[in-house]
Amino acid sequence: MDQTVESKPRSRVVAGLYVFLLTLIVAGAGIWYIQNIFIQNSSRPEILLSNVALILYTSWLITAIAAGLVTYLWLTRREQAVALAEQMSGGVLSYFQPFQQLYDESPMPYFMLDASGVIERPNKAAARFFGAPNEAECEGKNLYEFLIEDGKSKNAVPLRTKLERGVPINKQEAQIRTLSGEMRWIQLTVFVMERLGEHRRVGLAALVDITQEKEMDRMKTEFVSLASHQLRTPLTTVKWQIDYLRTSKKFAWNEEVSTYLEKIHHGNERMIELVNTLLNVSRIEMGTLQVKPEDTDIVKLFEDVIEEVRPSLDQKHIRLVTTFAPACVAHTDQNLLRIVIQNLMTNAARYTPEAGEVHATVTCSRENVEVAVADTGCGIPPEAQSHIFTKMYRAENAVKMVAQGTGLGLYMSHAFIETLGGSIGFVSEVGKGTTFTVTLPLHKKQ
Amino acid sequence: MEQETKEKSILVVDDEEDLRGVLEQKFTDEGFTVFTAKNGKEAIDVALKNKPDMIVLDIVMPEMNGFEMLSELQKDEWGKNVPVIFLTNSSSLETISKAVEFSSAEYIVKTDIGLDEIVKRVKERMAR
Repeated sequence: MDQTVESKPRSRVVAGLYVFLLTLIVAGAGIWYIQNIFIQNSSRPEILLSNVALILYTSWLITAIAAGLVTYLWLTRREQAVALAEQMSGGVLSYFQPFQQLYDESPMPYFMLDASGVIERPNKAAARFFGAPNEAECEGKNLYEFLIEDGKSKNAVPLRTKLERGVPINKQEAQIRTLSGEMRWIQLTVFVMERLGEHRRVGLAALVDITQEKEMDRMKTEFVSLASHQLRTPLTTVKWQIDYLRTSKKFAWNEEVSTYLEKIHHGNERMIELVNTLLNVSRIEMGTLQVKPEDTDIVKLFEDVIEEVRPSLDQKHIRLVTTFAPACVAHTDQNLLRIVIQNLMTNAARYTPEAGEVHATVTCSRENVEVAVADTGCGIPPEAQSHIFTKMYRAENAVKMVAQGTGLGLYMSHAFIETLGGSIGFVSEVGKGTTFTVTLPLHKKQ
Repeated sequence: MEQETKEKSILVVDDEEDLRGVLEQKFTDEGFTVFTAKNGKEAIDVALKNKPDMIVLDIVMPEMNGFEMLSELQKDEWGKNVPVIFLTNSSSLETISKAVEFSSAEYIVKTDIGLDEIVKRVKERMAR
């Protein structure tokens, strides 16, 4: 590097001298030729020669020196510009080189994605992920060709819509089938960027392979499902034997024994309910929730639930006020809706203090039925409100008030109501109470 | 009540001895003639021999499960129409969709129902 810099001025001087000598020779030849013409045409060549020669030879020398000098300066200037450019581009290159290397060699699959889903410049990991032998084989393939648009990857459609609209995609899950036929779960993030000089939108996409996590999740859910089913057999044994003891006319239990039998019965029923909840949660997660819509008298259903929860309301002297529409029949799954109403009523009874109030309302419009449960309970703190439908979440004040609870009831209710094509929401104020409102279509739109 | 069911007979099929036993006891108390079987294979023999008015049938059983048993039984002219209540703890989507394929059968989850309720459902079904 140093050597080339040092050798440059010398080469410029040589170039300058070369041009100087060249000009000297060429111009000298020209002057000699002009001089000869003058001498031949003049009557007194000696006078002419002395005057003209002075001018000619002076300008000859000046021209040659100027040419040499200009050459030298021009070369100097050009070399400086080249050096500067080299210095700059070398800097930019050395700045970006690690990033390029990171992109190429990263174990994370990266690629560029245009609005129509075409994959460009995939890195090695991306090519490998999609099952292509190299980057070139992966280039130009369309991401949509890999996406499986079955019921489980509902995400596939919004993904497309988002890309078309140029909306950034943040950790969206989808299922794909690779070129080698493997099924994989991905989590896709797309940073939307505008490509310079072109009027098309291109995003930088990053993939995370979450196949293993999904598989673990599925196994966990399956385990819960299996375990719950297995638990049901001994629970049934206890349930029916106790039932027989409680209901058979053969036995005449004294009051004390009857009380104990009732307690065993209630404990067992609670266990059954818990197992059913676990099963329902695993069904939600496996997508195997059974929905059997039938004409359902909502008021009747609500009244049945009230009968079940009345003991816990009475125990705390909670006043129940009902405002029910005269008749309201909805085409919905009554088992799922019953569980939702049970949950809302149980929560109201659980989190309302002694001598509080619970309002149960059923309102019927032409298209919808609205079921509301309002309590004068502890309320949901503002910071807990956005998490209240999250699986296994319980607000701090609720845990303080009632230690037991799975945090599955509202999660399950939310999932059920969504499955039934309705919506569930709430308004709450700490210390004043909470009102949960469920809105369901009378006829579920397909 | 008991007189109504005096001549009625019922077959209880369950591999769990405790469950089979308590059901047998309950139905006997209610005045039914009760037959029992501990798997599908045994149930076919008992059913064809005694032709009960109703079958209370578990699904998950060794040797031959409830579905296989009923399919086999329905090859018989009498077996085609005998009313059946599937009483099971399996509530998978496959089980339910398979259970409803049998038009003569209804489906109940064991933990969802008490003994009195079972008797009530059986009597309602017989009265139809």
